[in-house]
Amino acid sequence: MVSPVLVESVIYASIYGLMSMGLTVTYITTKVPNFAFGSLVTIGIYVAFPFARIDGVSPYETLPLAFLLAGGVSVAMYMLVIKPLAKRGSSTTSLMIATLAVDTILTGIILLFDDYLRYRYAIIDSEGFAPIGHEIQILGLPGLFVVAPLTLALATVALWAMLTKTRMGIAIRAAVENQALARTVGVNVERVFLIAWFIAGGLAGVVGPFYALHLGGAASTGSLIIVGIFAASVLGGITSVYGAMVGGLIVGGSEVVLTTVGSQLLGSWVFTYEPGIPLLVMIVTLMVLPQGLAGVNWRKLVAWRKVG
Amino acid sequence: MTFGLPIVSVFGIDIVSFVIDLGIFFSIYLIVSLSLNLEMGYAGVPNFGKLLFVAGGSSVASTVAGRLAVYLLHINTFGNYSFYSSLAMQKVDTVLQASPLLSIGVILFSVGVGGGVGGAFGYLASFPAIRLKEDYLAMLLLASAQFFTIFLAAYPPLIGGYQPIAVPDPFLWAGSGRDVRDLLALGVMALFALLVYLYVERVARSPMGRTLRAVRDNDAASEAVGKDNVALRNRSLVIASVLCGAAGALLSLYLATNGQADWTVTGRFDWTIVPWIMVIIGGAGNNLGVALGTLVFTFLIRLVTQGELAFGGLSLPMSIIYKGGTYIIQYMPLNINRVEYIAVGLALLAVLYLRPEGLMPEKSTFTMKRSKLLGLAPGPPKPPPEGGPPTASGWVEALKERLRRLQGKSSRKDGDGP
Repeated sequence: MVSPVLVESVIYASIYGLMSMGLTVTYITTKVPNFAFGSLVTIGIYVAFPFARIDGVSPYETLPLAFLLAGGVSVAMYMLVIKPLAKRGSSTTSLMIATLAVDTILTGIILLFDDYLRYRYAIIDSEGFAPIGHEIQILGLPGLFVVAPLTLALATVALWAMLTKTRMGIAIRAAVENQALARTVGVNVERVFLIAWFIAGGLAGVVGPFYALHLGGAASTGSLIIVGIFAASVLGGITSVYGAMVGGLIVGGSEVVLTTVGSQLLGSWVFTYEPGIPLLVMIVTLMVLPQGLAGVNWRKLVAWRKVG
Repeated sequence: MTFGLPIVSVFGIDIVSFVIDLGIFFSIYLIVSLSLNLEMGYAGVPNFGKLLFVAGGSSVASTVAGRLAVYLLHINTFGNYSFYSSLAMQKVDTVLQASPLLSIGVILFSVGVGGGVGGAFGYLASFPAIRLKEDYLAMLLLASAQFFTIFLAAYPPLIGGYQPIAVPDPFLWAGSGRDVRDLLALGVMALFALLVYLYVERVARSPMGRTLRAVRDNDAASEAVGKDNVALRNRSLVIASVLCGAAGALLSLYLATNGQADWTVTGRFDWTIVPWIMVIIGGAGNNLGVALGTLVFTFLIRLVTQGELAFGGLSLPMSIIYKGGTYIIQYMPLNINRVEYIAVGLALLAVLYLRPEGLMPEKSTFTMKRSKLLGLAPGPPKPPPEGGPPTASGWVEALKERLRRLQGKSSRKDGDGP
């Protein structure tokens, strides 16, 4: 029997890993934290929700659609908002407030969609719902216990392969390292960033159905989990995709483990303050390791251990 | 005898009530947006967590003021203040209604507590945050605000958890007539807003304001001339947070109630995004511009709210059914708040793209009055007495002589300013 805490923490960790990897891909391209990223997850959630509730389709089957839709919205955001503003020479602060504006627009659209579901299909809990059914069982365990880590592993390997083995990936890395130089050698930086934003949005979209399946969802889910995504990304060093993956695993896992341990020691009220853990992780990281995990010289650390 | 304001109704909206309500929200928003202008417009600290400071000041001030009143008046709340607060406040309000002096005390006390709490939050936030680059700072403040709203909902002793608490109402002594209580509230809010405006304008024109701009525009240069950038940013964050906390306290006094729903559901929109758009539309770094942006935006927002109440809501086509040889369009009620979200987001993007400097762009620094400056400025350099070529020292001498004359208060009839 696998302990429910392990199941829970593996699912959480994988979800956070996917999300923070996506956020980091957008950050390294435009150097702006994307405050609308959480709403892309919400889009994924609301792709899965109506299909499951109205047509009885499993959220797993809506994964490709969630990937495409969130990726498309992400691309539209890059094309229509980020690129024109960056071209205009807007400051980082202006670009950040622009992503917050996009988040507001997306929230408004999602809320309108909720209203539509409520009036058209009489779904009363469209603005916030408990986990939807349709979960499959694998060896007596929730399917997500296997599917979520598998997706994370696949995404990581695919991203690694793309970034190191394909011409497109090398172009992305070149554009991230030095935009001007990449342009000089003939890399179409805009197109490369577009693809990066599509992948990032897609990763957020994929999390949506998982979230709906396991944790339920609400129109405000995106604005709540953005804290955890930022925390994971900052812990990973914000400029490293793999660091973000590890940061996501740590933040997601520690959220479950710490609240479980805390509730056993102090009482069940600890669960209410679960969203405080990512914030704590973020504060501690910024004060102790401002460069994140990617900034630590691991080789030196290992060497020091050996000497000691 | 009770004195009440008349009803003037236009398009189903009561204009008198609307203007008073608009004035109150304008005053509160003005304090918040001016404080944001101080930290973002002048010091370049992108505070994405305005909600944290407004909500912090508001929630602590309202619960502390209420509890203190209950304690001083020996009102029994059966050990559960949050649950019995509305009953207790009825008794508190009857006392306050009879005593203007006590009411003013409640106002000052609440504003003081709110400002103190806001300042304390700002001071705490400045520890991890202020040394960071702007993007990290924005993320951290946004995250802190988000967590605080969760805390508000989860911790009933503060503002009652999911059940809103009542707040002492210090405006009731104005009278029981129509809108009279709100009129007094408007006067108090407007007074505070005016004080804040005068204060931030004074800061902007002071050496502190110029130093903050220097820190914002070129942090290496300001450090090179011996300015402590971190301390200056810290100070602007703390001052702005004090103002925000006070604004939050004023808000809860006006509403006479405080509940988590105002902070969790629409909090980020109402108290982070809206103040930001006010500052950006008005013109960051220009207090008058920010006041203009605040007025325009408060008007639009309150109009949406009042308009929805007056018109009862709009509807949106939802689906088309083919039935009996004809198409029937079905409608769903349109929640105007959703449209407001989308419209505000689009407006913010449009301003950022079309006019990022705002309606009233930032002006160059004010040092002295213009007339004084013109009087001081030397004309074209005079040839030195010996007839040699004009030199830099000649220019300096001319300036020094002029200064001497100014200090000696001699008449400047012979002044040859440009």
